[in-house]
Amino acid sequence: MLRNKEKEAEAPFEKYKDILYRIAFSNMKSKADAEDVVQEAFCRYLKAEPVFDNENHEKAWFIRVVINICYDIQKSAWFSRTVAFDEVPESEMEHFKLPFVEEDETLWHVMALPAAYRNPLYLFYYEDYSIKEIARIMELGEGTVKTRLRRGREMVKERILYGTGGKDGGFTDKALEEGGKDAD
Amino acid sequence: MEALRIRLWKKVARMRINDWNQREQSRAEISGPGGMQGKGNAKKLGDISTKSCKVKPEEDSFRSSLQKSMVQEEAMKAHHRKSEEGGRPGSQPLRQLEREAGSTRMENINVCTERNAPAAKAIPVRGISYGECDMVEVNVLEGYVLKAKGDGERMDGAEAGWIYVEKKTDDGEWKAYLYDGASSRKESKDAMERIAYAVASAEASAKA
Repeated sequence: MLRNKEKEAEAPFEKYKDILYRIAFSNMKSKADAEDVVQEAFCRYLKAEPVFDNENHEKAWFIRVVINICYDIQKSAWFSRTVAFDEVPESEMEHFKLPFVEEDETLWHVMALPAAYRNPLYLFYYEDYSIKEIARIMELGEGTVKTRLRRGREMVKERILYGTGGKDGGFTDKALEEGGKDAD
Repeated sequence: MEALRIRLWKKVARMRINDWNQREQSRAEISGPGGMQGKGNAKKLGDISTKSCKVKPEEDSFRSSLQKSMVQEEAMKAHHRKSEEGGRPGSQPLRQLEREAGSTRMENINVCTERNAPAAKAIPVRGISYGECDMVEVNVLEGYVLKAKGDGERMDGAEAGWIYVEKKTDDGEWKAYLYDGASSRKESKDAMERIAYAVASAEASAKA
């Protein structure tokens, strides 16, 4: 019985493991945590046995689940007390490779943004998702996604211009308040 | 050619004089007291005195432009005579003649001799994935992503073919252009053209 279920999960695992790992890594900033998140996502898949209309629907479901698991972990008291990385540690950077785009400094700044900005920006620029697709995955309005993309871009600019030495990594209170909405 | 230019200058000067006379005449008719005919002060070319001390600004500008035209005409004539004598007809460019005559009227008109834009045509967006692209440029700070791909060879057998370039911006805008790889420029201000150039040169070096 368990063997059959494992086989069921094999096909989507092969298809989506890389992109799910990258999305998990962009949120968790650690290889080990990202792998745990992907594993948890496939456990949920086996448990829920969801039915999908098409491949896009399936992929969107996995991404949504991964983002939710990341939020859940980051919300946990243990995580916030022990390893709350704002920035990707240098030792972890080597575990992250984008397939078609060169990693540059901007990518690490994007990963350091509050969750609500980080995910739309990461999906839009580095995973080539459209605003419409991001809105569907994150269950947000297209206007909200556009606003977050614009504000997130401004925040990245601020970080690059003024550095991260300021209060809360250079983010304003308003940005942090909005950025935490999805995670709460 | 020179004769034609002289005739043209004469014609322009005459047109200006006629225009000015008509304007003055109609103004005199309108402003005449009690519906009477005006004084008939519509000036003719001969009435214009360069020694007049009370000059309306309009009159002044007309006068100076007319004087310039006449000076230019004289310069043209002199040049024409000189070139006929020297046997080098039309050897001096018109712009130089104008400058000699003190005219600046043509100075601000720039004739575009250089190619301003490459052969690029707007086409419907194909929505290609990163995997299909030859080159991808992500610019988070400017809020756009460029995707470029070689789009087949040109019919005329040029080394660089057509380059398909797609741009998506964070305000939801999508646009796509097909660039002529041979005429795209490296130093262009347009990022789409620059990536087209990069793809074209990569293709060319791969062929070589």
